[in-house]
Amino acid sequence: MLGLTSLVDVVFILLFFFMLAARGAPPQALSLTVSDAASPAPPAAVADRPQGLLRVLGGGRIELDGRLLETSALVPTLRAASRDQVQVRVAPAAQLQDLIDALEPLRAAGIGVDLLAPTA
Amino acid sequence: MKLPAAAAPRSGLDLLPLLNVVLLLLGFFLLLARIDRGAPEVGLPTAESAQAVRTPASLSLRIDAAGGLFVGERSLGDGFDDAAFSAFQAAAATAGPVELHADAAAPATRVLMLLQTLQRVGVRDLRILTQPSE
Repeated sequence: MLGLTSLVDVVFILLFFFMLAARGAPPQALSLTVSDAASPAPPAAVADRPQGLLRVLGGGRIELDGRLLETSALVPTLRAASRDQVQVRVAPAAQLQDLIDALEPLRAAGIGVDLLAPTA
Repeated sequence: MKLPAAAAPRSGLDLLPLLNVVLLLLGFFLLLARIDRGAPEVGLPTAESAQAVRTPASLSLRIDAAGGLFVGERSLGDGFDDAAFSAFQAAAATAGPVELHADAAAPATRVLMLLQTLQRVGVRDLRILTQPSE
């Protein structure tokens, strides 16, 4: 006769195992620091060189100094202009994912980000 | 010498496996209840460069896709009221990390305004929770 109780026992133990394993993965996080919009003056070290102004428009669109760009073209464009610091402003339509997608390549390329607070 | 009589063979339903399954079921529902209560009801943004979080947060905030701000289950409304500031300042006083469960579709301006407010009350360790991209 089939031991159904033992089978259920093992199935539950497996279920427990996978529930706990899924829960055990540590969450991941990014840290962002927002500059105050009231004091947009760049640090003295970069004051002699104009910073780019990156606007995150939403829907995957970004604008560097008023020019629409593909996200993939952002870092090469900044590198070509010898910029290692960029100010970032967020348009009201932009979602958090749009902002993160725009910031990640900058961080990976070692380009400094000055994240400006949204103006009310 | 008189030997003890052999135990009679067990008959009928064996209660031990039944008890085992009942206890497993109880554990299953307890675990399920804990997971439900702790899980953020937001779709976290994806990020490649995020770091794994090892230390617990002193305050956990949530922003849903519509931009609504919550501390636990309590909604803080559109603005950051006195209760919200009290919670923020209490978190800043502990010097512990504050973590933000923000929906990927939440307005970025809303998230930045919250981050700015937290920085102003003295919170130094701010985390935006993410998930790895597929």
